[in-house]
Amino acid sequence: MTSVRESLRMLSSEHRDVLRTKLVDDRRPAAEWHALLAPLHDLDVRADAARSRAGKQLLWLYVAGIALILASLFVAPIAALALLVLFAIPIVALHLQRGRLKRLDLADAALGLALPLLPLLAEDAADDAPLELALDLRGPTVDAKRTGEGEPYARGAYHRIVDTFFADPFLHARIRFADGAHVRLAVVEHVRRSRKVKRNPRGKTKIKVKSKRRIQLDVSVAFPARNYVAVAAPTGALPPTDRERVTVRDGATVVAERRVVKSAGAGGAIDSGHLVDLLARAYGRVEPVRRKKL
Amino acid sequence: MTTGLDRCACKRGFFTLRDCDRPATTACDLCSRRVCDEHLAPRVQARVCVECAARQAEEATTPSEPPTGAPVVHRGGHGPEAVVDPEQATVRTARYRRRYYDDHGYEPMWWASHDSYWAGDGYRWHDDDDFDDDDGGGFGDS
Ligand SMILES: [Zn+2]
Ligand SMILES: [Zn+2]
Repeated sequence: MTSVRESLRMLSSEHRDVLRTKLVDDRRPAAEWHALLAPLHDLDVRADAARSRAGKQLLWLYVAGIALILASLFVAPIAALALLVLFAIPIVALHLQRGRLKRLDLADAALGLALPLLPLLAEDAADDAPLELALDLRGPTVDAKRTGEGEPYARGAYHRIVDTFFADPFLHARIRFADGAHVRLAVVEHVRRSRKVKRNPRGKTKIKVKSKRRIQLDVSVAFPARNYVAVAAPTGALPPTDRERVTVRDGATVVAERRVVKSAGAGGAIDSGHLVDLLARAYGRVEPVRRKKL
Repeated sequence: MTTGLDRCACKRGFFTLRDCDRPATTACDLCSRRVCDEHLAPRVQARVCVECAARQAEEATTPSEPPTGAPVVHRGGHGPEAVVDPEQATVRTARYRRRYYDDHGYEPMWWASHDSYWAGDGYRWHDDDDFDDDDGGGFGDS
């Protein structure tokens, strides 16, 4: 917790605002974004670690406390009472600490995708072009992101399953590159949370909650016709994308690339390499039409 | 150089490459091109440009050399690592660029002046007689 406190103390008022709202929406040079997001990511890593430490300590306190109190009951009931008080104090303190840390928690996916990409975007950004970036760091399963709930159904041993759906558009970015290309990145996480109820042979009810996530990553690049023309086949051996659309319109070739990533759980880190691949694929669909020094 | 200006020879960009064009301050011990402060890899005994540093690192690499310092944001994937120290951004990005080009055969768009240093790499440029290279410079021997 001390390192979390230290990290917190170093934060600017702007950082504190982000920690409170967990929303970011601004335009500034890509390199300056780094100064805002890197300390928040650092704090988040520390807070996550501290929270899991506190969880382990709580588990030990509960196990040891219950065992000792039960044992002492046979010896001297008054000792059991003293032990109860003795264990209750750190347990309450740890629960409060966990609550405080939980409030600091920022969604891993949004920061984990954006932060590694900043130096790359800074490399290609036009000199005077800011990065427009909107991040939602609240995580995918907050109430505001609930899109609906399915009818209860039964499957296998579970006699009642209710699915709740969430949609979390947590990253949106726009930037103009030095070659005149207009780049847009958008990421949405869809979560299906299933609450499953079954009865075991002894008639006890068991409830299991499972989440599945589907992350849709979209990149669109508008290549100016003065520099680029569309080509039929992409060059190179780039990792494939799930959808690719090339639209030639007045003054620009617009290439849209999409990849969908599925996994269990909700809200965890996502490899930023997906967005790099999508951009590389988009650049694979055009060729330069003139020779010029940028 | 035809212009007489002492410019950095390293390339800026990831998906496209262009000249750095900042004033050069020193020469790289390995490729002997003139480079600016930002494109100099942080080394103690040698002056090595970030592009040579990236090539060296890739040649030395099997799956070894875990990134030092900064926490790794992505897990088990192939994205760049988050750079926590901004001073490291240029050298880390040059390294990731080299690896990405080598692993995926990505050929960047070439919007820079000629540089024989990149002759062995695949890149894309418009091959036409009446090109409109702004200052016409940089095509001689460097
Ligand atoms: Zn060099
Ligand atoms: Zn330079």
